[in-house]
Amino acid sequence: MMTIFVILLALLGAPIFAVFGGLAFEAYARDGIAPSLIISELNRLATMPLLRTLPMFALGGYLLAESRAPERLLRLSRAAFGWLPGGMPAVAVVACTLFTAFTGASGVTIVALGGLLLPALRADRYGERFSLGLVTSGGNLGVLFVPSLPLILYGVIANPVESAVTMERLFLAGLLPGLLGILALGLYGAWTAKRGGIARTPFSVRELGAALWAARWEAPLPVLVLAGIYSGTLVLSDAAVITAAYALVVECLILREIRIRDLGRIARDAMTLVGGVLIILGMGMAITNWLIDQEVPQQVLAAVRAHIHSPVTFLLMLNLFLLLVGCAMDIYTATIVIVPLLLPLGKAYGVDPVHLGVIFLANLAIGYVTPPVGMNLFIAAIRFDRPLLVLARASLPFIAVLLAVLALITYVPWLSLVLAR
Amino acid sequence: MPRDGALRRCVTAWDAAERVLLGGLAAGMVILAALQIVLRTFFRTGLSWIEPLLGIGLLWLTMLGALAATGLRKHISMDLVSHLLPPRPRAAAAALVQLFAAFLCARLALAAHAFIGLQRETETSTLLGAPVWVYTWVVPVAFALLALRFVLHAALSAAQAAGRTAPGASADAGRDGAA
Repeated sequence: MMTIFVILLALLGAPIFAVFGGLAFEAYARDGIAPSLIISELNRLATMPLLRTLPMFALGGYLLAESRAPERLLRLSRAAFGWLPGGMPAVAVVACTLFTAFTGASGVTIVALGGLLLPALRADRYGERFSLGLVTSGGNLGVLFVPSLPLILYGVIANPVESAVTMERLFLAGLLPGLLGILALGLYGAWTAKRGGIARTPFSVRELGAALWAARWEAPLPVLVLAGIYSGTLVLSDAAVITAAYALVVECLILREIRIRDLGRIARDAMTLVGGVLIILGMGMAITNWLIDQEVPQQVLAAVRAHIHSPVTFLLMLNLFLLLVGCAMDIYTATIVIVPLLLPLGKAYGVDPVHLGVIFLANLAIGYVTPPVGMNLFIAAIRFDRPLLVLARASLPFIAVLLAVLALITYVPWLSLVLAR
Repeated sequence: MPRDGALRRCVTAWDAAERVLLGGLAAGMVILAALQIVLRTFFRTGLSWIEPLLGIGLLWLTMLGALAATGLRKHISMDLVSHLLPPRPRAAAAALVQLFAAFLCARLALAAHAFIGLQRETETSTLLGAPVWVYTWVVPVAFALLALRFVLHAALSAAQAAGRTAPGASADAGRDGAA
């Protein structure tokens, strides 16, 4: 009875952490467990070193987003890739993906880059609907790249259940699927450019040099972090500290684009995201433990196995289920509640847990632009001052491209597993 | 109104405190962690208290970040129904939801208080000269403040539902960091 009431409140927009807390109190009371043990779960956050990377990456990403780094990095990628057919859309996809990876799919990408990309696309004579859709949904698959917060969170949650999910394997698994997504969106942009008869901008060595010089302080950071992590020479925890420290030193001390007094506001914005996610995780761990005690994962597994027999059907149902979840829930909450239940299922149907992670994240990333609660739609609606419906329609062709990519990621495990040996 | 002036000063001070605390905490963690890397890489040594302190720092960040998220109305939620409602029922639903959140945070504050009691009996380790449970106090205090904040939000929403303030007024107040 109480449980139904709590779920009803969740649908009315109660904070998820309060919903989880309410459910945890209910469950613990039913089994006569002291409620202080809920806090004991929350307190475990302090003992999970990988979680400390989340505030650091978020702080670094938010600092870069608030400085004029987006402008300079955009100029650089424009000088490097702008001469390609459909060059400007390709630049937009790469820049949005990179920013999503560094700021954890929080809408910061749209806020930081949207105001620069939209006029640039329009100046190159791309249609308004195409440009809006591209800026709203072009960066979604950034969650598959290091150091995205959802990717790290999946690893933190999946590793204790399935030891095959190491951070190294998970990172490498996301690489090709993510690149495939960039390629697909880039081709769609090139096709649009060709159809619209949009002239190509000539390549200029001088502009590339000037752009490189202008971005000399920021450009090394993503290169260092991405190359370091993917090659295995830089461990995640060090990469996080380096990202935050580098961004602090460069933006506050060297370029001085962020004043010390603004630092508090920016840190608060970043920590609002991180605290909001981690408090859900703390409450969620209390529920997950209870569910495992009650053998709920085994019951779900038995129920699913009674109805679904082939792995292909399982993957198809998984895609559909996660699309629905993505419509209602954000990627962080979904990871915290669904992944512990999903891992035994994946194992039963012979899906590698690392491949499962890539499917899971790609699937939910699409949820960012699906109505009714696609967060990017809301943020873009505010940022560009357009009705929600216009943005939802503008995103449709991009959702179609992303769904095609999702199908390839799901049914061609090779893409995820060839690098993640 | 003079009463408003005092209230506004309170809100501004709280807002500033939040920024200083979270900014200092985040920057402090980065500096300590960077120091540890430098010590490890160049001097093959390290300070044993940095590791546990970073863990506690994360717990503090979580609680204070959640507290800020409440003030900015940025908690992650799954709002499927309420934006379909007209303004007044929506405000009523918001009041109900916030009252529930307040009640829950109060329960969590009590549970956290009990947990500290538990920790005092079982945990003997110390950190920087203080027993570990001292640092856990952030949890009940933050949950109590969260409860207070949600009560204030609920009151604003209820006033809006009753038609005492212009629609949207409480949302604006929330964005300014009020309540």
